[in-house]
Amino acid sequence: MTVNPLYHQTNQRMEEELSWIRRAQKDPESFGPLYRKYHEQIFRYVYQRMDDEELAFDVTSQVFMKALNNIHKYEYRGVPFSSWLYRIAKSELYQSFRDRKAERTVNIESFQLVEMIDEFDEDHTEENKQKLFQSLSKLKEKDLQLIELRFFEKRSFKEIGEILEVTENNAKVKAFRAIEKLKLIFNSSN
Amino acid sequence: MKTTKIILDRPKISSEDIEKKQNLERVLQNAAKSKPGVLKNPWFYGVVGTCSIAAFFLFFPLDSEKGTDVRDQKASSNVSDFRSSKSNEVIAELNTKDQKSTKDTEQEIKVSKTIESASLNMLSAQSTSDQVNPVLSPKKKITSTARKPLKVPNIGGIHSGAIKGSDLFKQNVIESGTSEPIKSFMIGYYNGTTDVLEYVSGNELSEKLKQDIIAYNTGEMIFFTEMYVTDSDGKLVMLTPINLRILPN
Repeated sequence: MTVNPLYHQTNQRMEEELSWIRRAQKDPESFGPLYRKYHEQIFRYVYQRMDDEELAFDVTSQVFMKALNNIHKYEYRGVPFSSWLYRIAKSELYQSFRDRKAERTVNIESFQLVEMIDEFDEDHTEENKQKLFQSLSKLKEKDLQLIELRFFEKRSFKEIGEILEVTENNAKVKAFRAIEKLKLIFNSSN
Repeated sequence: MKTTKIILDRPKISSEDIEKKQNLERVLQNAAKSKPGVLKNPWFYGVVGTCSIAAFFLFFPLDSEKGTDVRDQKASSNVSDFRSSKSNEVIAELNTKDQKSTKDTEQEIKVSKTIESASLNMLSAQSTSDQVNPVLSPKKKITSTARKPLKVPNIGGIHSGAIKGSDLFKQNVIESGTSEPIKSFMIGYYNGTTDVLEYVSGNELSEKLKQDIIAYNTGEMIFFTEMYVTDSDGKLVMLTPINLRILPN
């Protein structure tokens, strides 16, 4: 499986990023480079999970605002700054669902659907596609989240672990269980 | 049951379109607006709390000392009161009992003064009150005038440390540790109302005294001071004080 290349950074890039963070911690006006680097990633993460483009931009702004207000608390742990931003984004996203401002949405590409049906060793029929749609909508939020992160967004288990605040191994186990549950729902709807 | 909307092949937003929507100024402005106020900042309460406590101790230092060391302070004030009255009486009484030649009397007066100053030093040290200390200069007076005690006085063989109330009750006298009995002593204890420093003629522990000590001083320290005996030359000598903690039976 291909993995999200944006997550992986060279040591040089990480050091550069750390210097930006240090500067932003001292002076909020220096937040620009971090904002420009991660704005698109965070927007896509948010918009992937909702259907309202304008609201997705608002939520993204909210994420960066929260990040800026709390950047003094940020501690570098040898992982990209994006992991911290994703955690804030996750929290803001679920807040918007709770406030009923946005509707939980799963956006899938046709090729992703095909990949998943392959994973289940099933044929690429229209019927199976519909079944998979229904199965995904029946999945619990925590499992759906794992399926999205791992199978649709192609994130590594390490990154998933950092976003969900679990260990890499735990992320692996949870993702495996989530796909098993989806398979079970898919097969039971025959 | 919850419903999740599933969308297939939604048109993608280009990176350029997303970039156009970037607005760092707005983020900075909103961040500045949404910063929690001083009253919502936990640091505020920490600083205010610390300052309040510091101010309290700054303005009420004496009260706090009274609260913690009230017994010591009472004891020291008793020492001061006693200094002017009882000590002189003790010395006068002892002097009348031991009638000697004029030369001897003069010597005794000198000794008595020595005893008085030394005993005051010892009592002040016991009371642990710094307020008494400036009046006296312990080093100078003790080294120049106090005589070396003969032997260690004791109650039932115990000179310092702890004694059970029941063991104290069995004892009727304070042993001087010498062939001569103790002529008089002072005892510092709590009588249920206040700390007292009581003069006792002779070496006997009365029943009333023992009962008070056991009733009100269990777990506390009691002090036997200014214990006088005569040495082989017939001169008055003060023995080292006895400090005892009364243990429950």
